[in-house]
Amino acid sequence: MVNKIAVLSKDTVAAMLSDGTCQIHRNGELTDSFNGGEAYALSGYGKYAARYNDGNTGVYLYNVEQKNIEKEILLTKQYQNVPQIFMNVENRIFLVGDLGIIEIDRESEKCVTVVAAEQTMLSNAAYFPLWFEEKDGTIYILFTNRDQTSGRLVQYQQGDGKDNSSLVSTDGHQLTIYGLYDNELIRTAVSEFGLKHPDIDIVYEAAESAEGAVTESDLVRTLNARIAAGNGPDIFVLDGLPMDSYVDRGILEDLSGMLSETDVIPNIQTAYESGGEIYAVPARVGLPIIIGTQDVMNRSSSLSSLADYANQAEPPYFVEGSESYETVIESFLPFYINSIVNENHIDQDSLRMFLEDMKKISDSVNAVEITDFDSSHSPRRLAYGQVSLAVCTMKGMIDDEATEMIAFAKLKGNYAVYQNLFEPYGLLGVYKASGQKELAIEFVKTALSYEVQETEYRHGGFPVSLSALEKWRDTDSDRGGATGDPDTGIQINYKWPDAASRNRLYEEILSLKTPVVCDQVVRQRLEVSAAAYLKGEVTLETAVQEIANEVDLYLQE
Amino acid sequence: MKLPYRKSQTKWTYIFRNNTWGFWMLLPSIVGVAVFHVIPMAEMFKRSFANNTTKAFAGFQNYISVIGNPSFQLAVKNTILFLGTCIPVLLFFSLLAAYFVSKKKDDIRKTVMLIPMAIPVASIVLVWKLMFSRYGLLDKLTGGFAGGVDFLNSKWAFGVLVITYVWRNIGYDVILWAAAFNSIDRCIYEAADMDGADRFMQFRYITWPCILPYGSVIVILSLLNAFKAFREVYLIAGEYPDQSIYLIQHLFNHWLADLKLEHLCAAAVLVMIVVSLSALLFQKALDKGVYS
Repeated sequence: MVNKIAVLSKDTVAAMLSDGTCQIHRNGELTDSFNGGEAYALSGYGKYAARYNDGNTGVYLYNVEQKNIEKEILLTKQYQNVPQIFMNVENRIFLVGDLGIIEIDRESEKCVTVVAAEQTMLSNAAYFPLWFEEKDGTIYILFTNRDQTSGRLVQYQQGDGKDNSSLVSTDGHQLTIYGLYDNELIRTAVSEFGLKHPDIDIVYEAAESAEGAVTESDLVRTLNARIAAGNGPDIFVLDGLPMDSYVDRGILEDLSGMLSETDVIPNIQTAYESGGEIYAVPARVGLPIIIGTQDVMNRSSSLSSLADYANQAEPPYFVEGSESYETVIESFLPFYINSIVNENHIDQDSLRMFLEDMKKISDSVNAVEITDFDSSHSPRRLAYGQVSLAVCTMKGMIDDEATEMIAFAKLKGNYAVYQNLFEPYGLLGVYKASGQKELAIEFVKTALSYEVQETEYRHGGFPVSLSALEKWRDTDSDRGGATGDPDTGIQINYKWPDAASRNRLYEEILSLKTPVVCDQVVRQRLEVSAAAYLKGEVTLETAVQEIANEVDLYLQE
Repeated sequence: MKLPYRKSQTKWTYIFRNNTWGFWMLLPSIVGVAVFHVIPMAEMFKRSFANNTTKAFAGFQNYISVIGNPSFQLAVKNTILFLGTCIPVLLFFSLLAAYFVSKKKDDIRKTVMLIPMAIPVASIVLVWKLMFSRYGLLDKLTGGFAGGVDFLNSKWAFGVLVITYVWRNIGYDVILWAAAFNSIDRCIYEAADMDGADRFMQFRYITWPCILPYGSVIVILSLLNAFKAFREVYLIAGEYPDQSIYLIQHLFNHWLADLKLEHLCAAAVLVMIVVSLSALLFQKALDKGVYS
């Protein structure tokens, strides 16, 4: 199958096959071929073709007339994963992707960013560049969406960082977005918002990705100092930030009015409602699920009965001796945490139950101190028949893992979403004292809009927009995959979920009620002390008291 | 009594006119203290009486919340216990060491005692973790008795903290005490020798009264240095250490992270009042000891 074609001249074409071979055809006849790296990146003009080398650490410059690789330009690590290569009529090579437009100087072999990506279509995960041309410092790119049902032609000037920047000028308005972590959906929303408001300068600060980044708590303190000085960002991406404190202190704006104009799933809105007001809304959600054999799932009416059955399950829950105490705790904690942690104290009965359940499970699989095994919570081990249980989070359908989860659940037994729990991603809030509050609210609306929500983001969660979710539910596909166990030779092929499976997942998402809220400090204290109990270093009551003392101290602050 | 200035001048005008250059030279320092200390303190006072959300006057509500907060109570208790243990221990051992060091006029020993202060905190933290963590050196040495103990995250953490503080600061106090000893005229001791006073009597009636004035300075400096021990605690044991070493600065750190600025300011005012009063009382008590 041909992945990509580059027309080099009126009688010469380069064709990239799906196996990574690049063939050169002259006057319809195959004259040469050469191999390399990424099978979707190919460009050329005249007597040169360019593609990634083996390992995708550099670029091959292939001379069609001499039939050899004339030059191999090695790239620094920063530029090695840019998805697309383009070559203009002057044989200048450009890399195009979410880093921006980077030109490779053929003589010095250095890379120079000619257009930054931050506020442009280049960072929009819904679109990818299909066609590229550069002339006299002006760059034109045709973007298309994944289905190739829509396209956008965008012009850039070298040195600028905005779509169609020569056509507009900013009027000094700036919108700042702050998050601890980089988020692909937010970048896409920045791109979409930038198209609607080309006169607004949008600055997205992903604090952890900054050079010389310090600890998360230091970043939070720095942010709080800015807020205290009245200089907070216009929009918060609240993942990892003390949202409850911000709500208590009136830092966040009420979004309920804006949300009533969107089609965000009502139960997700309700989950964040407090006294009729909504101060934050997630841009995506993930589902913590348990997948097991039918025998195990029949005993999964509660997590405690699941733990009680640990010693009797056949095959065992996890591969014996391959689990560490910490991973057992980490996997199940999301299902218990909301009952353990109340507003300002630990529920010791719930904590006791959690520790006892974890003890039963870790003992049944002979959990160890330290392991460098791949987690046996992977649904693949379930499919291979090695284990009877898998604990994971379903984060959307783009990554094959989610397709696998449903397929393996159907193959081996069933899956369950416990207590209608969900994990929120990209939790958005607006700064109440923002000078651009209306624009900030509009940005949040853009992030929740169909155009941004319908895009698939790798490990990015399910959409919260009802129309985008329904679109996914109604979309059939021939996507699928295969996995195999080299030890046993078992080979499993799986396909995109059928309508019934998609509908079930759709209904599950519409039933979600409670976000898993696990403060990092609470999680850490719990995991350390719980692991000590599982290892037998302390008794149950000692572990409960230690955890209660430490976490209560934190919660009472 | 004849005044040194004319009746048409005030006392301050007279002082200023006769020390003009001095005031101008002091001005940058005064401005710096005002900008970096006085103004922030005034802002802190203001915020301690305000609601952080509405900015309205809240009276003593913040102080009541802070004093009733269990975490604050624990932090204060631990801080007082730490100061009450460390400072007497430090003063005693540094006085003893200074007494012997000054007797021998041994500059090398004085210098050696200052080495802990010169070692970077990060290095100390690394070594302490190697020594006191669960699988550290001390755990191995005491394995038969302690059975695998994390000295940094258990009831032993307080002892580790005291040892850290005393070890690190003893050299500084030794230097100060040694300076106090060296300020006493040798002739007094010679006279006491001739009068038949033994060493204990000489210490009690000559040395001790003469070094007491220095004692108040050393106590205050030790008190201020004790608050800096938080740095080591934070690096060794993290944001939420064992409860026995949960200090007032931990709470301040967390309140800043949670944006509870009104509580932070109220607690800071309380701590400032207590520390200032304590320092004043120490000074008065020691000065009274001198004059008696």
